[in-house]
Amino acid sequence: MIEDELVRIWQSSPNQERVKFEKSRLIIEVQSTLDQFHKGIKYRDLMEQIAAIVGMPVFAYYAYHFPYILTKIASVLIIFWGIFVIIRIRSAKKHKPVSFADSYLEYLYKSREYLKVQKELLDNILYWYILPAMTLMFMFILGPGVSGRIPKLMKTGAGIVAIGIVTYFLNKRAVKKQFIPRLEKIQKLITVMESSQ
Amino acid sequence: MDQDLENTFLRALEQNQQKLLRICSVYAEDADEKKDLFQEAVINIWRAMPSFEKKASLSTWMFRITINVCLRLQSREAKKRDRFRKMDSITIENIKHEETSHEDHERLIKLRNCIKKLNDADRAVISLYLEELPYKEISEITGVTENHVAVMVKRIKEKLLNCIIERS
Repeated sequence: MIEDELVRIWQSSPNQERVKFEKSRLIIEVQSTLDQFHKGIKYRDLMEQIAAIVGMPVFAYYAYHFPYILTKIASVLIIFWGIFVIIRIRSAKKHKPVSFADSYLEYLYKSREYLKVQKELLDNILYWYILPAMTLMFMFILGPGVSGRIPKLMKTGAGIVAIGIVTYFLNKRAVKKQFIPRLEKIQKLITVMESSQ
Repeated sequence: MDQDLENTFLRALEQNQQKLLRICSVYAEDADEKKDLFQEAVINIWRAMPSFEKKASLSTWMFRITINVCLRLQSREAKKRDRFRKMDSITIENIKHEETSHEDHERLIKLRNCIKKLNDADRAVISLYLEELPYKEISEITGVTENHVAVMVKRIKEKLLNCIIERS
């Protein structure tokens, strides 16, 4: 088969399928789908902010209401930690490639960078999310003291540790199953594109 | 968006729709996904229209967006089909087989299947080559040098020819 034949076969598709579009409706539909797209992004951002905003007054109330110094300190630190978590997640999102007008290679570089940042976020989750959260929750529950509360504290403590361990392994699994294969695929494509350049 | 831009968009879409659809076809598993990818490309072209800088031709720029949309959305979104935005204003019609040669149809299916077996990067380069884009424009879209595009095209064509012969 000669090479021109490949081009001819490839371009024979208009004889087999046709795109039809109604111009007047198309513009209206495209604009309305874009509005939905922006609404989706706004909704996601709103949910994150609501979670932080709801959590903050609750722990601010605890800090004000509970007489125990350790609980007060833990509540204030939880508020700051919540703010830190949101900033950390949002700053990782900034690396996401958004422009469809980049070249393919630029897109691959940006995707690799984005996945690396996200992977690093999950790899280090023990230090910036799980350990601070567990420490602060222990401080919070230990605030009223331990006398006469040991069985209850043991149960709550075990629950906190269990949640921490599950969170840790779920994130490790996500890194292994989702991020590493994607990073490897992107690296492979970059190698294909860069080789013999 | 002003009327001039809207008209430019519609005109360019009319001129390039078949080419864009062909590119989508090598990234789609079935006809529905092809339509979804095509619609998504149309939406993103429209969205990016105000930022078009005329450094490249409008059709090259449309190819670039379409390739990027297909590469980003193919497998990831196939599992979440409902995420695609549905538009009734675009339809894709299959023409009855009597109007087209059966042999041509078979060959096209064979070629598309062989292209689908390539990796994403090779698929992007060969689909642009088959649209008869010059190496310079393929280089602008993919971000690799013209020389490298030429090397890639040569290698991919060999792969494709072998694949088609094997299937014949």
